[in-house]
Amino acid sequence: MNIVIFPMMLSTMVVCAVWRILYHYDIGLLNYLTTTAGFAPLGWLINKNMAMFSIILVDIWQWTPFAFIIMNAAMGSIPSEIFEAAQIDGAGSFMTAFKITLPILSSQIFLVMMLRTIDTFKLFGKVIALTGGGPGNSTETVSTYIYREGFSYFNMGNATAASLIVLLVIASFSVVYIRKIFQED
Amino acid sequence: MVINTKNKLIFWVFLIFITLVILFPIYWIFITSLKTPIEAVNPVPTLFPHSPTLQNYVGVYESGFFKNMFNSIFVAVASTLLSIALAFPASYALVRFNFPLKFKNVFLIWILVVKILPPVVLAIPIYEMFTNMGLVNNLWGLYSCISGLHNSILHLDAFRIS
Repeated sequence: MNIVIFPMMLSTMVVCAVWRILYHYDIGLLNYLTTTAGFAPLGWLINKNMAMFSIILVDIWQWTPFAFIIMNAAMGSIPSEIFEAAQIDGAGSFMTAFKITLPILSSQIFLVMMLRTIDTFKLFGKVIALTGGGPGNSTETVSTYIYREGFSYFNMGNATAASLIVLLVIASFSVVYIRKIFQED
Repeated sequence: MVINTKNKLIFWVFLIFITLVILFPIYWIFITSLKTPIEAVNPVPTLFPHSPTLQNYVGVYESGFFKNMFNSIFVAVASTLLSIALAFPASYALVRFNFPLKFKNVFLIWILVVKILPPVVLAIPIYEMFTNMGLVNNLWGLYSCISGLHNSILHLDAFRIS
């Protein structure tokens, strides 16, 4: 389990550097694998439909251990009598997994979903490091827009207007989040 | 779940596959750092370098990398100490003192909003304020800007209640 946690411990820029090399169209490893398997090389970061998918893949690679840790802790806290009772009642392994484990873990799953959604609002570093806004405008997020308008073009009016809109959206989102958390107590 | 040899085999295959997928980029970093620059950009990537070399590490040392890393560590430690020093009295006051209830909730919601916010939204007004205060190219600006303040307050708050 200590091995699985490792991608989470790396800094975001290190992860971006490695994956940028792997995603390279000519000399990257992923295209080498697809060509030896017989397919055409994929434009991972240069195809405008695929660039966002590649960034999401890097994010999944880095943060899946986080969800794994929370799920592991939650699953370890289920008493084993429930599983024995299910086995006595004759449930197969799939049915046990879907109908017993999942409802117990549903609060943890919800917690992980909220935390990851919050983290993806801050996806700024990976986007800039991997594609710098994407081929054309395709991987541009709100954060990169604010950054470009505020710090490259010094268009402070546009940047602060966008910041205010983001702030209002996130304030409403967090009110919903807090209501959910306080209703569970 | 019945543990027989078939399930065990599936389990081990799955486990090895996931370990490989997770660890492979890290192995790739290590291997590429030992390759010569010509071999690193080879269109046919190799799993093990033909001629391992330590020249890259020498280049890293010569380019002043350790000074930058010392800066990073110093900034992290200093800003952590600053944020703990500020968060500890704040969380103590939040728990012990009977504020009118609306203020306490609004304050906590505000801290949560700041935690969720993309950092660039905060960076623009901070940048403008810091240019007027002269803290832009200064290390002290970096210390007071990178704040784990919100996290510290939330954690210390939960800890103090218990």
